[in-house]
Amino acid sequence: MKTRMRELRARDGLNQTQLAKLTKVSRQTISLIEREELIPSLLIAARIARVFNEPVESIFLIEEDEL
Amino acid sequence: MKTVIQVLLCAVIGFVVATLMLINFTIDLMEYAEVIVITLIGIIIILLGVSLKLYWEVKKLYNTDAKGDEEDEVDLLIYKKFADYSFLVQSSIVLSVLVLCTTVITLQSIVLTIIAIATMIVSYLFTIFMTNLIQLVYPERNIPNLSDSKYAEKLLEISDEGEKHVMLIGFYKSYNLLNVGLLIGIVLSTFYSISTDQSQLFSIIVMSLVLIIVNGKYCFSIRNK
Repeated sequence: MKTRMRELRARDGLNQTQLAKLTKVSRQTISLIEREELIPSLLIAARIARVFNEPVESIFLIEEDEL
Repeated sequence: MKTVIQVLLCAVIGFVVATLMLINFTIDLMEYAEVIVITLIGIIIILLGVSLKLYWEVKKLYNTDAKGDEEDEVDLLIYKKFADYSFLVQSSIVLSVLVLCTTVITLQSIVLTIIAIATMIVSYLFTIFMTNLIQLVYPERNIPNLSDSKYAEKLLEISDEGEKHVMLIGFYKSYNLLNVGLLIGIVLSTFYSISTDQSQLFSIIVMSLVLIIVNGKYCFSIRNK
């Protein structure tokens, strides 16, 4: 699964620590998701989507063969 | 590749043990007990000194007014220094216990025993400092008290999924290492018993029991879920 989190953070001028506070998780979790080493739960994905004001599926891109 | 390295490592250990047995190699650690104790006390003092340095560095980093990506870098550095601090303090506690046991077994001077007890108390105090430091740096997190009987459960409860993911990988690697480490310990104790005529049977039985209990605990934990 690919993620556009880094790009969206840059767009909104947020660092990982700020995004972590807004989504009520640790900076470590944000870093892991961003490096595509962890697939977030539905709840965290929804919180991230709300911060960026984007639909979940436009932030986390699931490839066809993963489905 | 990993399996090849493991096989090679086992072959080297087997070769070394077999060679030493063939040449009737003997080593009596009792003769070197005082040197071992003094060296270990030196190592403990160094570990505690470095831990203290890390403690002040974390405090200093916490008071750094960083913005943007620098804030992330500071947080990452604090996290790494916490991990290093934790490892050094845990190591000093283990070494303090080892020093205390050695002084008691080899009936060394009372001064060395008192120093061993003192290093153990100081090392324990350092773990309390660590908890206080975590609470200072992350005040929003409800870090459980070290003396809490449900410390492990509460720590997992306050950890988010990323932290749990990292802990799971770390714990599983440690679990595998513990299994291999104890097996090597049993082999080495057997070799030591044969080469020195000092039976280590009790230690071998204890290590075997620990191995069975640890594996049993893990199997029952996953089986009952």
